[in-house]
Amino acid sequence: MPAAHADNKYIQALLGHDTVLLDELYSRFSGKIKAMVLQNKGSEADAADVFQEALVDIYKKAKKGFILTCPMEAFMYLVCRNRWRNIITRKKYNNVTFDDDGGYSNLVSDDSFANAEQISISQNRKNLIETKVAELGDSCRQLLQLCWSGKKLEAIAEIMNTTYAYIRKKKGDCTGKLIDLIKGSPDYKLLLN
Amino acid sequence: MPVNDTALIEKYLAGELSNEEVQAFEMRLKADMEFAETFKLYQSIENEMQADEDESQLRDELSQHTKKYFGEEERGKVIPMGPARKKRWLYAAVAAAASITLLLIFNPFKNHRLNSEELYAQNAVPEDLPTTLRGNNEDSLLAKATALYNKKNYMAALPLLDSITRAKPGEAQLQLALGICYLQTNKFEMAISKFDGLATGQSIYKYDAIAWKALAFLKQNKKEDCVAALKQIPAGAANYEKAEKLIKDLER
Repeated sequence: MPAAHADNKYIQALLGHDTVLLDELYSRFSGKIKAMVLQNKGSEADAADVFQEALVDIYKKAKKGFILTCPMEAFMYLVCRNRWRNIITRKKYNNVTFDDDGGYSNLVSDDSFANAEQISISQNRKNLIETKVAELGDSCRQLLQLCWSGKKLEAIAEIMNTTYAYIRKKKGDCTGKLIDLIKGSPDYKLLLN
Repeated sequence: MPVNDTALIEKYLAGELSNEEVQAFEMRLKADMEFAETFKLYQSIENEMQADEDESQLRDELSQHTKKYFGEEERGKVIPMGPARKKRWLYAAVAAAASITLLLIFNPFKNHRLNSEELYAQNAVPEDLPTTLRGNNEDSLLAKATALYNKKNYMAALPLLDSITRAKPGEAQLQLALGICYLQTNKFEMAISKFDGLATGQSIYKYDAIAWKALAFLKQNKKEDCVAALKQIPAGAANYEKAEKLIKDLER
């Protein structure tokens, strides 16, 4: 396995919610991302979303053992550019396409590049699921969101004045409906890999 | 897809099948492509969507920094209100709320006429939900909803409050908080229907609900509807003076 880059401290900061280092991360890298989004049809609000959600994605990767092997600035740029490109592709903004590598391409290690690609795929998967969740009825939508919020089913059952068995059955039914909706989408194979 | 399939998958993943059932399940995965696909989709959905407490705490932490490093120059400008803009809007609202104190002291814009957006940000300041009154245990959904709501994470608090109020429809304060969550996430019809529910009753939140309904109109730039709602708040109500001031600001 390639050695961790010194900037891996920022990945650790995400895992440990280290306020001081996270502030340093924002102060060092947010400007460049803001500029990239603004130059490509985005607003400041878009840039803020892209930056924050990219960090959450990287955090999720880190929980599965991701180690940064290249400069954080280059990796952030890649992840954010992919993210913003996915969004503008979906919005079909006047066919804007941009492939700007921000001058970082030779700084990104192969495994970081592969990780950034996986994050991008995961973003598209999540988007497909969310689109289909929005098509569910209110009760299923809310129950699934609740189940995904990190609460244990026992706790959800308690607060909804019902039984664990009922909540789990209902969750199964709702997930079944969601899967049917997803199978009806032309893109659903995205979720099979 | 047969509904039982997802129930079976749930049991399999929860480790609740007997050895024979597990074997049968795994045989079927190999033989039945449709079932295998359902299983794969199920796993993908769980994998992408399942958050945990730690992630939601990280989001809270990150949003503090995002607020600090993005959006300074948008303050005071008209900010688009689409759903994608919601988070920015919240930051702007927090920033605007923070600057009100300064405005009150120095009032450098004595003749500056505030637009709907600014008036909304100035007036739509939800009160925190109480965290101690209910003897809640740390684990309860209510504690989590309260924490999210008080951190102004309305999108996350919304589904929790919705479930809680379904189970306890008599909790007027929570109904009001749910309405505010709808409003802050730009679900105007849902918000107004919640506020109306409280406004027609005899709850102690009756006039708060009317004021929030007015703010829901304001956020949509429906100034006349906003004023009409504000005028339903009678002299003597706790928020009467605030309502009068907003009417004046709107009619300036």
